[in-house]
Amino acid sequence: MSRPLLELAGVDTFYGAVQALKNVDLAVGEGEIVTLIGANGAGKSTLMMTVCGQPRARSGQIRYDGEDITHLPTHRIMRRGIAQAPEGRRIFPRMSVRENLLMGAESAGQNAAEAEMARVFALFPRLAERERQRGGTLSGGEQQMLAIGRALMSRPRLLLLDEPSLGLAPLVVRQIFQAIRTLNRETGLTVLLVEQNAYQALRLAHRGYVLVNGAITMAGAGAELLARPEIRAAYLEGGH
Amino acid sequence: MNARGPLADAFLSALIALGLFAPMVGLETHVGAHGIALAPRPLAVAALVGAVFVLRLAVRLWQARPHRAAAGPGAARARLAAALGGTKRFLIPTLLAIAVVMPFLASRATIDLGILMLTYVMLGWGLNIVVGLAGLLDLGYVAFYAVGAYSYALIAQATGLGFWSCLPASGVLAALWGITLGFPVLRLRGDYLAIVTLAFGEIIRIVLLNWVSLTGGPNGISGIPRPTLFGLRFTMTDGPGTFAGFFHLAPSPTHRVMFLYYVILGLALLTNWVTLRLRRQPLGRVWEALREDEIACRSLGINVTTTKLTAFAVGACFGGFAGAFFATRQGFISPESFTFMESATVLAIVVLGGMGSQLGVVLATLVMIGGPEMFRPLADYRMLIFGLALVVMMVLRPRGLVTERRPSIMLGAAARAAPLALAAEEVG
Repeated sequence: MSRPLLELAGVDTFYGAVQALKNVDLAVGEGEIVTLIGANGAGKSTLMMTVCGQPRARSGQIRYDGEDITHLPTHRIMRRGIAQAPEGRRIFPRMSVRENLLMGAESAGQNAAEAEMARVFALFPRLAERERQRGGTLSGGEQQMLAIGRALMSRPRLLLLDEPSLGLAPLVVRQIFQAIRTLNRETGLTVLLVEQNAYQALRLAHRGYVLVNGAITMAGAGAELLARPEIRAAYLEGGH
Repeated sequence: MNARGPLADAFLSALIALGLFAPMVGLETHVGAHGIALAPRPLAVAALVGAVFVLRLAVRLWQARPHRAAAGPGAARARLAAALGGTKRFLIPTLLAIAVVMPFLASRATIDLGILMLTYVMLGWGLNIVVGLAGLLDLGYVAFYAVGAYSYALIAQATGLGFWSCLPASGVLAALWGITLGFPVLRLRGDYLAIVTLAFGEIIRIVLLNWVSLTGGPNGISGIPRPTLFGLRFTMTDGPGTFAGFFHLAPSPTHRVMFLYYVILGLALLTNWVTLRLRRQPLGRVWEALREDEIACRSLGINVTTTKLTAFAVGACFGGFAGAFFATRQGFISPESFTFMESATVLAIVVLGGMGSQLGVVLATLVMIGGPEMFRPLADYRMLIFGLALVVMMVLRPRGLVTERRPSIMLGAAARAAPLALAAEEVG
């Protein structure tokens, strides 16, 4: 692994009295695609949200680019080169595709917004076709593209993707994963990908972590995890 | 749409009406020889219940009428949107022209009504920033109106300054109170926010009512200075320093009313202009994004705290301006003018107009404030007609009078095509 861009060390997160993350250690190297797989309710989204400071880690440390960001307010964290395409896409339904994208550039300042938008349109030509349409009228796949495009508008170094395949047709999932691979290869974008679609995610990622009941139980290279019988039994066969 | 038949539904409505009207209308008190006696009025009840039955049946049958499937809802919507876009182009300049010329043609009473309506238009536009754009449901907007009015009255009394010098201070103080309200409610949304803002409005009113040494309590403040035109006073004489004297006119009380009318017209247009400008700025876009999805805003690195506070502050500032104007127009203020009813009316204007629509606020004010005034000759029945009109309006246009949302940014040719496309999606 190259120099870590994001590091979680001994992170515990609670919802009230319920512990959602237990002593989580995780590292994402610069230029890597790392995936976090696990069942429903394992704490995958919690881990991602903890990186963003919502909820806040009760103990442990989160470092980004060598700097402790554990206690920074959310909007400060999101202005340091981290961007997120949140679970459920959460695009702005009554605003146009163009306005949605501009919102992504809001925190980074508007100067380079046009150039950035051109790059997003090159990556997802469908969005260019729908530029003036309202976000809420897009199909699920297009909304996911918009959510990723919006996150890219702030020129992030680290992209957090929370279940981009959720509720999408297999063909669309392939398109989106292909776009992630392209981004990573061509721009060196670092990606932390949370997925239930373990097979696709592990094939895409350089490395993977398995989260069970809030604790990391396995880690390794994507292909290596794919080959492990216990992973096959738990996440690949039997429906996932 | 429920599965009950129209007849059963109408019968049920009639039953509810019977339950309501039997005690409220069906019993009349008479002062008889042995104190008060009750007399039944079965005919009145029967007439009302019958009317409810017939009306409900009519509504249900109208709703169930076969739709013209051939034309398709899409085509109908597009036509409606085109018509809306067309009328809008003429409607706004026409309304503006009427507003500017009106004082020279109308009677004094009509100008007074115009001032009242413009005050509500301004309050509606101010609240539209908070509710329509930022999506923060505020039931206590009257508090800022009150703060503006009392700020002007108290500062003017203490310092002897005039309306124009005190106006900015009223706006700033109201904005500060907007931020003060904003802080505790930052984490609240929807119903909870509404309850707290409602309480805030009441707190301000009750403080004004009980802080007798400062505000005069229920007696209010009188002798509030009237506004001047560059130092020219509006009086019944034509001495030096008066408007009539300077322009060699016969002194007339109408001058001041007309002047007040143009002051509030200017203030309201200022509110509109600032709002329209802000909508095209990043700040306005962030407000709208906040209305759409707060969590997404956070994930994009937007500081939700400052965004909400600016919405409260800007909205409150215009409420404060309107309050100062109210004080200078009346010359007298008391807590009675700042009840929850005012907040509810302004909110109704915003909702009825279609949240976030500037033109909608104007149309809704014409209906909400102008309507009851127009029906004044009908005496007791006017509120009945007014209520009926509101119900009909919400049935026909449940999302408000003007439901179109223009994108805040457009490119070249898209500037003409896009609003219609968006309206087509939204109308109906």
